[in-house]
Amino acid sequence: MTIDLKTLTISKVREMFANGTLTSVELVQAYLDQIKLKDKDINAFREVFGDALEQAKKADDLRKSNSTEANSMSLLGIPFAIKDNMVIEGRHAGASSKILENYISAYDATVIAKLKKAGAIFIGRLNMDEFAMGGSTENSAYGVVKNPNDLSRVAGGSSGGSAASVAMDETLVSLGSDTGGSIRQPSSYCGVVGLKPTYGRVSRHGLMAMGSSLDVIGPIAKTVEEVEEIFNVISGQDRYDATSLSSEDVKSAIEKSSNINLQKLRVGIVPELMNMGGINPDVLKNLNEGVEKLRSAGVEIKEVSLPHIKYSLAVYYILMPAEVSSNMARFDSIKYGGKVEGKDLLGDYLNTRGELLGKEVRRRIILGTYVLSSGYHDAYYNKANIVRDLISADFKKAYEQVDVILTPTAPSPAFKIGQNTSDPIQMYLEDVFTVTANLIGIPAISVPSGFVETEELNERGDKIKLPLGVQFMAPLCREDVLFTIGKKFTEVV
Amino acid sequence: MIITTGEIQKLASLSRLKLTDEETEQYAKDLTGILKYVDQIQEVTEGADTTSTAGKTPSDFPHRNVMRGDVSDQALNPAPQKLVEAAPKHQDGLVEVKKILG
Repeated sequence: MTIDLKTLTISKVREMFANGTLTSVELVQAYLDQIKLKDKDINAFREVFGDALEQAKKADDLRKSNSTEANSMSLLGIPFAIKDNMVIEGRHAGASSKILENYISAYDATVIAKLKKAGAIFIGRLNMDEFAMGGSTENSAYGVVKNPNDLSRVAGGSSGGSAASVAMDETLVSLGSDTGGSIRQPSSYCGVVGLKPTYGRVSRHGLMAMGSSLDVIGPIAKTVEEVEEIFNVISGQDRYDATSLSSEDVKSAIEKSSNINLQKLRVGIVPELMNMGGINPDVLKNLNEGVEKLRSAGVEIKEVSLPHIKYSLAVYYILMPAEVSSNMARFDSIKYGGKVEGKDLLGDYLNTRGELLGKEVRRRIILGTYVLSSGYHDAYYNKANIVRDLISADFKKAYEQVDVILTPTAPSPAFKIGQNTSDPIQMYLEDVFTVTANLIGIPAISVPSGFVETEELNERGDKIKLPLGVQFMAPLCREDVLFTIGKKFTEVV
Repeated sequence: MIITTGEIQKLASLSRLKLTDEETEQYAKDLTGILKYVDQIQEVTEGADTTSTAGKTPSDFPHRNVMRGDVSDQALNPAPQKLVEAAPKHQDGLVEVKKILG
């Protein structure tokens, strides 16, 4: 049978499973065929799990049993692919780094355990920037993930594999992680939906840490509805993650924004952000069109001021490397991963970390070591935390006037492979709209917003079109606001 | 501020990274550029007297201490044997390291 993978969603699959027109084995086989056909070009997968069909068969058998257990599993037989920095018991996980090439996990990440409990199956692990450090997957030790719309361009990053695999119909849905935009930016570049939940709403137990005050796990899918459903499955307090929010924490955060009326959301736009320069004119035009469509659909649009948001990227590129330099200390050639022998213990450290960690990872470790070093700590790390608070206060004020803030997801469409590799600052500027949500912990979503046509032709002689995305940012723990406005935006665009 | 290759060598030694001469020069150039960019936060004069939440999660965030009893919890340390086996060098259930005392 041929399956129209393009239009499949979780709820459609569930319906087809229920009425017997599709089995999990058939669905997984279709994705395996698609991977075989396309992934040598795209390079989204680090590994396709050899037992994917076996897992699907088990799910099919369980469904046929019609047991109470089977009927309680909302994602029974639904295929997921997972970013290579989340661990699954008994499987390789490597964060696309040479230093973890042979690492096999001894346990399940909490998100994996929750998905397993809901009946989901795992078809493979996905390529990414090494340890999630980058915005293009050009920092993967295993080659760049190419953009499904144009193979000469990047898929974005760091969750490039997670976004490209969904866009290419190589999996139904995926998980990514987001420290400064790593779910939202590739989702924008590939034309899919990506959610960065509120800091602490999804457990990070089993996620390889990058910036511990910033990291969060989130879903990528073709529709807002699917992202919402996956979020509902993977979120919740976890005893293995002390930073995960309790239901009381969530309740108290929601009380602070209890004046929000989901039927009548007020959307804020930020002129000072749009006028700061460096934004591709097509992106600006696309955003303005999106704003007009929302306005025509009766949504109230208001201008708000966020005077300190222009410092977000600078704050981020101080705090994130500081946290990176601490987190990466665990790769010591002793506890796990690869080892390059030296003449003594110090030699082991120097050789292993020098040779098996990539260029960008080492750049961030050195930068982080610098901003934390004695004499510079006050000027950089402490100052950055003060500005972080000022940004947070700006948002608090803005959320008195609006319920959700709208920006482009990225300042440009997907860029050419190699275009930004020689200039780290140019690469970092791709994060300019996304880092703020991580700095202040709020949830944000990237939703497709049409395409921009380039002057280049594809192999069929048509002009290449590149997807664009917009980002909505809501107050703490108000993912519900993002889902509501995300669906509305999808309808009107 | 200009970062010298000497400073990069010191930082690399502090962070236990072996670098080639070429990498040292490249990182000196990169760090100089990045620090020039991030230095724009020095313009901000507000908030200097705040008792900032420096080093914690963002200020508007629901804060609380998370404590647990100082007791061994098997559930928190799954499969110790598997964790040892993940080490590049191990023997008889122990992680193997080079000697650290002369």
